Formats: sequence, structure tokens, C-alpha cells
Amino acid sequence: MKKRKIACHDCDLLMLIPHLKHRQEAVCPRCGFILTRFYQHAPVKLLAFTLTALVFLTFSLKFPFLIFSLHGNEKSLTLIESIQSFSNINYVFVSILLFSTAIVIPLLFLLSIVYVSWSFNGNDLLPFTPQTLKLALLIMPWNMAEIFLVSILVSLIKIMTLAHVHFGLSFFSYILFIISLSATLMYFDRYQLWSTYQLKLRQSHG
Amino acid sequence: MAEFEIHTADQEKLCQCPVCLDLNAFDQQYCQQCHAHLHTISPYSIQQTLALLMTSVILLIPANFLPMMSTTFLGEKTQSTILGGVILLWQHQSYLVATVIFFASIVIPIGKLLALAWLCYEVRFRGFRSKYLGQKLYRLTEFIGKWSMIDVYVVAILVAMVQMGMIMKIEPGVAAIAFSGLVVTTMLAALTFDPRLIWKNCEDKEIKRETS
Repeated sequence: MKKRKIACHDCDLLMLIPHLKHRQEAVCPRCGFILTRFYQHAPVKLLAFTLTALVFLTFSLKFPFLIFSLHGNEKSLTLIESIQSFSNINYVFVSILLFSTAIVIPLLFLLSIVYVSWSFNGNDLLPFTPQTLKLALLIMPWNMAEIFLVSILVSLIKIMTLAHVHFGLSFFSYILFIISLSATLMYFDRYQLWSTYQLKLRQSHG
Repeated sequence: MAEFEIHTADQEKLCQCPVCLDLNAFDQQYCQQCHAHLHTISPYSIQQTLALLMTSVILLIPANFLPMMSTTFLGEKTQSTILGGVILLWQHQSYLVATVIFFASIVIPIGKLLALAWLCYEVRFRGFRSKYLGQKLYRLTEFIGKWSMIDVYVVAILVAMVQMGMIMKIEPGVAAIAFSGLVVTTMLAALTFDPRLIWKNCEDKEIKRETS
């Protein structure tokens, strides 16, 4: 692959990224910003973890998430119900924000990775590949799935004195989803993906 | 790395796309590859950050003083603010959760506002004498920002779980809206701040030191 000149995101220093071996990372010599990490077979691993995360996410949408019992009445909630509960019209904004940051954005992120990987796999690039990759990069900082998990634990401790709470099947599936999402984020590398895109573009144009 | 020279993209009249890392000519408005909006390094870019910071400061007031959550237990309604909730948890001896909520919803937002304000001040007036500190602070701010969302999620989950008809009911308060707005605006402020400004100001000094 041709060496590509890039500037550091944090300090704007121009440099060439050297050829990296497995598990090596390129660090900006001036400010220490991690420019890129290289893993062997990263595209395959990325796709594998993305699909795993997608399967676990669909699983966790289906089954009861939390089961709550107080004085004999039992109530189970699905994942969507546990966030989308602000029935009051004034809280629509908060509801939408929470729903999108915990479910919609991770889902969209994973789906766009699947699309991009699929596009890179074939001989010709599929339409809207750069746009999809750009979308994935732009929504990445708004993914708050792991924060949702922590807040479930916090709210359980808050409510423990009042009632019994059991975890449903979805809860464990959601934990596995978070783990695979973190693995996906580890293999999702801005520089490597755009380099692959440029390589593919050059190949398809002959 | 021996023949390594200090050249920034700015000196070479290039501008890097923040999305796809492609280098574009200085006069381009949009990236050639992915059509993202390009920004050259300019001290005036902090105005956007400052505007968002001011919005966050305004939102900080209702977020902290209005009730976050109201609990109705056997017809008796109690409202609690963020700080009130932390104190209540501390009194109930759940120290870990109290600390987590205290950090996530009070220390992080205020610390983040102060950190970004300090960064903007240094960029505008002082020109960064301690740029490593600035750099670290910026990275920390970017990383930690979204964790303050915990409290809003907790309220949402509690509202969903505790809907026990006449016995007990939890409702969200107005502060939930203000607080989620605060988190969004501080996150946007951190995203709009240009870290290249930290280095731009002391570049000449840096070149001398590296080459000597």
C-alpha cells in the first residue's frame, strides 16, 4: 500500500505513517496522539464483531429486560420500554435523546460498518460508501450504550431497598452487545478504513 | 525517524479534513473526498465553542435548582434536585452510587465548563505556556463528557420501573430536560474546540527546540 501523508488531529504535524506490524500503533511524535492502530485481518475482525453486536442487540430488544416486583405485583419491561417511558409530552426531547443515544445510534453505526465492509469486499465499491463511512464517523461520539448499562446498575442500587428486581434475558444479551461493541470500536480505525477506500477507488478506476 | 522535519499542514498551506483525514488545499471549503466542511486554524473558531459554553452555563442553573425527579409514595409527593438526590443516597449509606452520581452529574459538567473556558482563555489571551496540560485537559474533556448522561438515564429507568399505580410513582422533573440539554451543549462545545490551536500558538518555539 502506498504511504499516505496525514496531519495529526491534535497538533497538525504532517507525517508519513510507516508500515505497521500486528498490534502496532502509530503515535504522533510531537503530542502523543494515537494516529492509527494496525491489527492483522482487521477488516474481517471488524465485520465479525459488528455482526455479533447486531445479533445481541436484536436479541435484547425482544425479551424482557428487567423484571420488577413490589408487594406481589410483578412487571416486566423490555429494553425500549425502559427508556421510552416519559409519556408526558414535555419530555419528548429527553425521551428521543435517550432512545437515540442508547439504541438508534449504536444500531446505525453497526449497520453502516456492515455496509462499508460489504462494499470493500467486492471488486467495485457500492454507491454511497464514502457517505456511509462519514456517517459512521460522525455519529461515533454520540454512542452512549455503555453509559446506559452503568445507569441500569446505578438505578438498581437506588431501588434495591424498595423492591425486588431480576434481570431478564435481554439484560445479559445487552451486556454481551456492549462487549462486542467495544471490540468493534477497537478495530474501527479512521485512517485504515479511508486508506482501504482510497485503494479500492484506485483499483476500480484501473 | 532520523530525518524527521517539523512541518505542519498549516505551514504547507494544507488543511486536513476532520472526517476522512485527507489533505486539501487551503482555499477549499469542502473536502474533496468526503465533502465534509473544512476549517483552517483560526483563533476565531473558539467563538462557536464560547457560544455553546454560554448556553451550557445558562442551562446549568435550571438543571441544578429545579427538581430532577418527584416521587409519590402513598399519596405523599417529594421532589428532589440532583444534589438533594446525592445527599439522600449518602444518608442511605449507598456511598458508591452517591459518589458516582456526584461525579457524573455535578463534578464532570462543571469541571468540563471550567476546562473549556480556560482553554478558550489561553487560546485568546495567553498563548499557552503549558500546552501539555492543555492537551491533556482537552483529551480528558472529550472523553469524559458523555458520562454525565448517567443521571438522566437513571431517572428514565426509575420512571419506567416504578409505575405502581396508587402505591408508588416516580415522575421526571423539569431539570431532566435542562440537564440533558446541558450534556448535549457541553459535548458539542468540546467537539467544536479546535485542539490544533493549542499547538499553533507555540509552534515557532517548538521548532527551535526540536532542531537544536
